[in-house]
Amino acid sequence: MDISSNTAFTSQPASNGSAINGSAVNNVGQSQNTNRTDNDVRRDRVQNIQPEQEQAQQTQNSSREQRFEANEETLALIEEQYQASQEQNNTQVLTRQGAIESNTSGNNNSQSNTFYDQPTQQNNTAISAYQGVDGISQRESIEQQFGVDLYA
Amino acid sequence: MYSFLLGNILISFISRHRFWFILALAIVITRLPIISIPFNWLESYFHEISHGLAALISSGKIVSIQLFLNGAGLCTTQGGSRFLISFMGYFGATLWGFTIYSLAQESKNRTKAVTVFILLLLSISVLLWVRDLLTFFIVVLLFFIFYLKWRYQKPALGWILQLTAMVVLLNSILSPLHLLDGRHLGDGAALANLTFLPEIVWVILWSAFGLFALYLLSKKGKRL
Repeated sequence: MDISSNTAFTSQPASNGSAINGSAVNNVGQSQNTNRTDNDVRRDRVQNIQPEQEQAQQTQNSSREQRFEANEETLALIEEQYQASQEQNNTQVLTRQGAIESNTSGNNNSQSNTFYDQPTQQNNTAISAYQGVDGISQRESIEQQFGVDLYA
Repeated sequence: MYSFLLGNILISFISRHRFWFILALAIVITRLPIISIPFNWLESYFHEISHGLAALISSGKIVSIQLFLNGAGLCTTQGGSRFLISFMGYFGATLWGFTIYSLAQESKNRTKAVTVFILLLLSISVLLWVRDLLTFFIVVLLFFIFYLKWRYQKPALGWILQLTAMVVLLNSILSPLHLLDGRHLGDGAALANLTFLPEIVWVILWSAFGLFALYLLSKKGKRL
């Protein structure tokens, strides 16, 4: 989820905080450079240092932007891989718990072999027949309790 | 004149072979889809009332009698002999068919007496043992059928009663065969559990009693 939010965050330059911040930093840096015309050496050094620092920050930010921009595709791939890994984790949990129902993903055919604990239809039929026999005995006990007989 | 002679010959032939004519007509009626329905209800009623009367004879009591549209029925009893009650279902229907057929050809007065007795039995059943609307509807319908027969078809009442009895008798011969479905349910299964004799033994016994009753009636055959 964080990755997706980040990708959305970076894909929209208007809402991109880092881009806005970078541009704001750039603008601020530029405005600072243009406004310092009557400063002494120290200030120049400081000014030189500050722009350098600012430039370093700018380069870092731009590299970050580039990295973000360049890695959108990779982030999309990461997002797909993350979703796939989530599905795999769910299937692994189901196989551990021996659950019957599977995810509603489209690739169940390849995962159907992993449901080793799923009971077969024959077993389900046997269980229901056993329970039905138990129901017959209960009916007979009720008939005995109430003392009535049924004849068809 | 020829048609008059032909009619007399035909009537004489039918009277001589009355039993076989009624048997053939009963077989046709049981195969007809809608006309056979009241006869199925009647056979089911006699089957269930036989269970109930067996319970009363063996010091038990009838709790309720239920009839269903498909010809099935259910009798709930309390106490009494389970063997006798289970056995008398199909055997009782055979006895009813045999008795009604035999009395209907004795005389007109006995025919009326049999009809009045059946009407009384249906009335008592409605008053004491019927607990649901469907069974009430079926029993009342049977009451009206017998009442109409008794009230408006007096000259042919004997024939109609014998035809009704023959249909009941045929059903009592054929319906035990439906128990051989492998589900081990019904009167045959109950007797098998009580006596450890297989269900098929009781099915054959009931059908054999029905065929024997049919044989006795064929030997007995009289003109009206």
